[in-house]
Amino acid sequence: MTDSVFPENLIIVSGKGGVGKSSVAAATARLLARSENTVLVTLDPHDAPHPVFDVPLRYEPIEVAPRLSVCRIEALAAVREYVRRKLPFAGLYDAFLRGRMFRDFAEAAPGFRELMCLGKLYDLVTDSPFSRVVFDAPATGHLKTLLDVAKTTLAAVHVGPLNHNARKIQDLLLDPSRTRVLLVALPEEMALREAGELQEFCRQRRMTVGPVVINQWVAQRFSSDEVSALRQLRGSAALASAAAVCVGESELAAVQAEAVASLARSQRLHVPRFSDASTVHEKMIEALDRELRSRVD
Amino acid sequence: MSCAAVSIDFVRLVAEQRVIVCCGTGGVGKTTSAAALGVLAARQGRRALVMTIDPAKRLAQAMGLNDLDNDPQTVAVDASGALSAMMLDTKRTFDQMIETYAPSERIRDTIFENSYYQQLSSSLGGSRELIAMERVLEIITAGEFDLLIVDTPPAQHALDFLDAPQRLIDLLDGSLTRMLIAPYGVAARVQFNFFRQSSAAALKFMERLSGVEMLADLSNFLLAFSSMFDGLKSRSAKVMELMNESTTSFLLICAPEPVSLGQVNQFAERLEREQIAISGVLVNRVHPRVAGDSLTSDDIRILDEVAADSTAGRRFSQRVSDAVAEARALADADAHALAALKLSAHPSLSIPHFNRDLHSLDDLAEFAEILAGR
Repeated sequence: MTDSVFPENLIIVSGKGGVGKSSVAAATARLLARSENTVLVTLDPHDAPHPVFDVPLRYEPIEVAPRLSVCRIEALAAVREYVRRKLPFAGLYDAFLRGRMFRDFAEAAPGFRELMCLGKLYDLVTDSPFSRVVFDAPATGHLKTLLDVAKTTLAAVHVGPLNHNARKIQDLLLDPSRTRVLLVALPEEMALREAGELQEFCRQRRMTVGPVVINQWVAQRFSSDEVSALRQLRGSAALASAAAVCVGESELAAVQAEAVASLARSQRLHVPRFSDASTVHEKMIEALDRELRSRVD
Repeated sequence: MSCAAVSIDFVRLVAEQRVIVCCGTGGVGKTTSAAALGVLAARQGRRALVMTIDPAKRLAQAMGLNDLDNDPQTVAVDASGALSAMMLDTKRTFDQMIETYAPSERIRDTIFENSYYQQLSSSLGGSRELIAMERVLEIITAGEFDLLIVDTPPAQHALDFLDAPQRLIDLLDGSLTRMLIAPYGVAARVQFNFFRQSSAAALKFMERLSGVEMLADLSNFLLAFSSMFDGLKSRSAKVMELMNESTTSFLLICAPEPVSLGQVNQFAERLEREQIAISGVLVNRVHPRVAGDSLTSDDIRILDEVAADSTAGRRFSQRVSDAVAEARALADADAHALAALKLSAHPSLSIPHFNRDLHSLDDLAEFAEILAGR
């Protein structure tokens, strides 16, 4: 069962830019939503619809399938919600919170936005109708800052609501039984390097991390004898063209296999390269499910 | 491909331009393309410099770069011109900028020691972009190179390269700064009671949210930094002038995927509004069309004779057919995605998927030949 593979409440999905993080996060959320109430959360500051579910992303979760909702966390909205819930006479601050000066403050104060976003994430994990939260997180570099922001704040701010918030968040993020970082990479040098660096970063903090989803994986379809035969093949134009395609694919598969070789197979979830855009999301879910089950067996 | 109405004339581009800015989202081969363009320029007799941010290790090694180089290094290429490469060190360039613009040593040291500055110079949104722009201006002013090729920092959104520096300057020079440094500045002497009361309340509120230490740090930093705004702003205006010159152009780089292409469309619209020249759209990693017809029964027979003793699973000829069908589907999907590119006004060039990582100078030379249309 999927549940036994990822038992944590919060699944953080990250990797280098352009590796298919959002698709993998969406597929993971769909898998979890087969049996549990799940919310898929993004931080993308730009106002674009969700790339997989094609619904507008709002601060309030929107249901996109049975047991599955999506939302976008935005720092200023999180502050407004926080103030509304925690401070007396919250209405007094409303105009100020919507003003330019406060926006600048939130931008300038180190870690403030990040901490407020994480605070909202914390609320979704601990105090919401959702039992599972999948966080479609920023790319690795930014995520590292995000994961450490609570610690940085605790070092700088010793009292007050920010300190209190930071401590709760820190406890959640570093709890190996509640939080997991799921990595995504392409079978290529740069993407794997970034995933590896994030993995190391998480291990130093004793977080639960892995496996690495290897996206756009091309499996080796031919033996080396067959490839040699294809290289020497003589025949029609169609046959020559087919042979060239197969040799090219085999070379790519070999390069990919070499690129991922330093990661144990049990640390990798292979998601094949899909050619049909209209079914790619369904197929990704099936592939992830298959890979996760085979890990358990 | 429908977007390839006019191909990009890269030979002419590297001959005529002084600055080429390579933009695009992460993971589309931006750095490799910039490096290949540098090789092409050197081969065309230009003294070219490729300024990169975070290259793949093997690519960096191939170009003779290590992590510490903030200055141009010569790359050993076989060319009539010359190629240099450099890796941008944000922190060091920011420090140099403070050295240059700080009006006194005391202010300089105050800034360097401020914990807020330490965060700003390494990670605050926009600082990397601001620094990249600053370095571009320095290099162009020094005039040591004929052509500067800029690989922009990896960003979630291509537009960040243009917007982030201004956002940062606005922030440092906005109402918040004026309020935080007001007690020391003009505003304190002017008897605007209302202003002072409301800002005191705002300060108190922000203190309550963030803690007094953080606010004090921020305030000290802004006070020290405010003496440099004029220098910073005039540099920023110069950068915009440089971007608008006819010898500067932006090369948009993308992959044949909806998200990447969508951003290229947005970015192009924006550049057009700002009247910044677009040299074209480079589409990397395109799966090429499979030549020839489907396999005939004769072809299938030949294949099965070649490798008849296939082990369990699909027969050899079936696997060949599968591979061909997949290659055709991938090419169709790319063509379909590219049809959505609304950039018929701009020249473009599709680069075939290389089926491997490019990381040697020979690889770059091969890429450069494709760019040159040879």
